Amino acid sequence: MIQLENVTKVYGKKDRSFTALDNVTLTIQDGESVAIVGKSGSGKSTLMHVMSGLDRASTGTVSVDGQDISKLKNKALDSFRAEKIGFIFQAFFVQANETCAQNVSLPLEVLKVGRFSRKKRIQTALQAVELTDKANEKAKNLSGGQKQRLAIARAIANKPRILFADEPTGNLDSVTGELIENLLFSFTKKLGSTLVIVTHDADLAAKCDRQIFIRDGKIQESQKKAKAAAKPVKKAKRV
Amino acid sequence: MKLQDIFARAGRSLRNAKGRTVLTSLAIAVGAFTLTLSLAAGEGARQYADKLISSNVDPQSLFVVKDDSVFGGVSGGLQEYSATATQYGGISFKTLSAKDLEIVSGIQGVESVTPTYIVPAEYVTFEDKDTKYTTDITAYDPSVRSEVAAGNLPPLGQQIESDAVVVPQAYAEQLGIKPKELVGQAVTLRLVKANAQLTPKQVETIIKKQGIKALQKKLAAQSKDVKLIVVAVSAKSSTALSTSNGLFISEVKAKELSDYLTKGTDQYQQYVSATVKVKDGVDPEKVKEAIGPAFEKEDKNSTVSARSAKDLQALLFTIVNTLQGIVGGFGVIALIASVFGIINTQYISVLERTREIGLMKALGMRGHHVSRLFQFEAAWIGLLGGIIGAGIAWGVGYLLNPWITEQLSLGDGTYLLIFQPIPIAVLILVLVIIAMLAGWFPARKAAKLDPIEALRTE
Repeated sequence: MIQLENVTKVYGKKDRSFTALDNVTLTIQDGESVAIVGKSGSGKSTLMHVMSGLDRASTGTVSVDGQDISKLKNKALDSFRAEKIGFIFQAFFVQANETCAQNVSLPLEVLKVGRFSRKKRIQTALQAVELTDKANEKAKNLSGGQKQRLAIARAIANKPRILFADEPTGNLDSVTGELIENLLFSFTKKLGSTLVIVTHDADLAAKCDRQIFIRDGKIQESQKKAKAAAKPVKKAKRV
Repeated sequence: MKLQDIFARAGRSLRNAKGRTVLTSLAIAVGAFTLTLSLAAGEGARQYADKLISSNVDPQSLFVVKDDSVFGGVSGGLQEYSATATQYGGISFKTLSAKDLEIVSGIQGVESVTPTYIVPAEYVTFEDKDTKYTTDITAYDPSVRSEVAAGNLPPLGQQIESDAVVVPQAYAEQLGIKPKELVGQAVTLRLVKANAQLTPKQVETIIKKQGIKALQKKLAAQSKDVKLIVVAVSAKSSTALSTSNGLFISEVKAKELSDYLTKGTDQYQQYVSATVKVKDGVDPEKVKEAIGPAFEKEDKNSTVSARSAKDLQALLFTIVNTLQGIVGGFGVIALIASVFGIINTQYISVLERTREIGLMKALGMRGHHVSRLFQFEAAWIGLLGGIIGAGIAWGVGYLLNPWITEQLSLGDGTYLLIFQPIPIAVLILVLVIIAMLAGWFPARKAAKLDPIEALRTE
């Protein structure tokens, strides 16, 4: 469970300050899939950074599973991310010169997983995104969709409690994008993990359990998905 | 992150930038090359100096002089006049008196004291040859083993016969005689005795007692021919300094001739130097230390200086070390240049891999692990550069050694570049550490990188 209470994030100094998050209070339940929707500059990325422990709130508390991560020291915050968080980015950020297996290996190395069990977990993760045959292929030889699949394999390798996806389909065509979306949803469901997607794509947002609309650092509204509404959207996309 | 994983990752990212890695390490290789060569040349020179000393100087002996400037070379300027000084090669030296030698002989542990007899022959002639030659004539040193081209020398420690002479091989070549034929031939030394130096009072007494004829006889130059037989021709040696110097005659003969030439002058039984043979099992350094106190007891104003084989070695080593230091200095300069190369390369690498660093940090990799990653990369560069430089230096040394030996005529089997694995390994290790220190600045930059900034996509 992620709980934000009166979280404010201010960048810059007094006279030139910019409030990216303004008194945000919000709760995300375990296993829930949430879309944070907003225009660029709305503060949606900052919200994700604060929730994932990449950034610290200026004021307010951010608790994950009852632990106040805004009070953690750097070292503890680093291991918090390594253990509990998975990241997926719009630009993939896979290491082009490394093989798929080496890319997936990185978060496991950070977690100090032993060589033998690392090998097994890499295999499992690559199998889940259907990249087993590309394990020893360099990442630069993959297509865009394959790269994002690789990024997903890397994100799920350490079985994270929360998966953050920042515009995961932004650089992909709609067919590939949907494949990636389905992968994300099926994994989080299987692992029972929480999924937080930052997007301005209304179609993708509609597939989530809940949408949180953000504007100028403030939460505008939070609406639950109407189960009936989701299906027509999906169908419309397939046409 | 585990150390071994960071290490493997560092190696991998270097392999992915082969050109840059090799070029950067070549800069270190230049320094490593120079330093390896200076180490090898220093070691070679030291071993050569050792060989030189051991084949010329008996380690159980001390070289004693009255005047320290014998060791120090030419001493210019005004020198205080001394009645017992002797001219040698145009330079005036204070000399050892019989009394000095007696004091030295009395020191515990001394087996014998042999003065260095100088026999300045007017000229030398060889059998069946009319040409007159001049040459140095010194006493044969039985404590040093000489190689023989022809004839026979007595075993180590034994003097040659009193009418024997040893001729260097170079002389045989100059004379156009085979060394074998020279053995058994006669060598004649022409000795001319200096006039007696008489005071007016002495002149007066001689005239009074013996008449004017006796005085004339006394003042006339005396000369004498000494015939010696060649027993051996000493071979050319790369390390024996003395063989090329001149004729060797027996100690007894040298003393006799030296006395003959100086009798009646104030240089009679005055010697520039002497060799002290120390008893076996006694440390020559101990005897050397005892010289000062011994003279203090006998005569406070007089003392002698002594040098041991060790001192000679130290002197040569000082020269070798200085030269090695100069060469090594160039290597160090090259290294300093390469340090900036590493810093520069690694800074560029950090800039290039901003996103990779950002991702690693986002995934929870600790800052100091990121820093270590870049330092290990620098270490790999240092290791590679060290191995390349030392390897090339070894190869060059291997190829050049025979040529250098030939050019300096050091003799077969003597190499001036000697590569020792341990100093080279230490050198490479030091290079790795230097490279890591150089990599520290860029590594710190990488460690401090903000992952959010690094991963911003624009």
